[in-house]
Amino acid sequence: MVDRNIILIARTMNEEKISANVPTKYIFHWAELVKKEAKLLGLKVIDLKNENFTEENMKKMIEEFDPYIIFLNGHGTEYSIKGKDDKTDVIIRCKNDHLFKDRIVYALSCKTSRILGKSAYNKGCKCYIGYKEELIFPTQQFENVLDDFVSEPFMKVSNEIVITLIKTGSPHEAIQNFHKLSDELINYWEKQTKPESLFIQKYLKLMKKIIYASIPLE
Amino acid sequence: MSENKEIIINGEKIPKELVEIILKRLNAMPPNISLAVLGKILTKEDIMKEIKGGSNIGKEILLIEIEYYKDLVRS
Repeated sequence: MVDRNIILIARTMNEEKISANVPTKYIFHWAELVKKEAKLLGLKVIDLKNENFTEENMKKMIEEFDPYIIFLNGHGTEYSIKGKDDKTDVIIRCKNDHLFKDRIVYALSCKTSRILGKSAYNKGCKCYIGYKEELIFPTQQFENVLDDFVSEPFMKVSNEIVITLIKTGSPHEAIQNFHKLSDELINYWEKQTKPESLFIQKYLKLMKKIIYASIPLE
Repeated sequence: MSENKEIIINGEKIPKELVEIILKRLNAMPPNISLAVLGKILTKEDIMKEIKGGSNIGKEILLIEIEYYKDLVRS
């Protein structure tokens, strides 16, 4: 029986080649805010960071703690999600995606909802939320990620998914809130005259287009 | 892509003139912005190079730009 009071977060930020990994650095820090919010809401958080984001640890933690929500951050392909070193597969289609059975998964990764997400759903994953295409967002490459107003809207809409899942347990509401907040932010940035606003709205629209959720009929 | 080479995406030929317009628009991109594609960071110069070179990521960015302007026309 899955435990609705537990969330597993997995994320990586390869410090050795950080200059090439600004995107993972950004999403690593975005996930920190989700972790804080989850704790505030009384959930137990399992946080698999960097070298701990491995296939073995994922299996161990899922089997031991039985988390209802799994939030994955890192590189992805149609078939897998990569962990600690950005190269090693951690969750692989038809190898260990059965671990997602009865759970809700949100993967902030490129392309995984195309095949991996569908495969996991076919094996009983309650809902797999991910992206169909390359995930692209504009950034200013700031040292302090949370100071970057250009990427902030992307953090907000992504985190909205997980925070709604934590609060309601409903993938339907999570997707609805994602689209609602995205529309609000697109609307806001359409009215701004800053040179960055065009890129923010353009890529928010893209994010809305490429999100995909395998959702059961309720 | 050389100046005269066409870009073909999913079997569809992208008119050279449209590519030129998009490249000009991208050239006006604020210098403080880069695009984070999970795995790499693309500066304005990188993006232009990827599009001109006809790489997969260049084609994806080009498609995003085309879709954006199609949406603008529709709305």
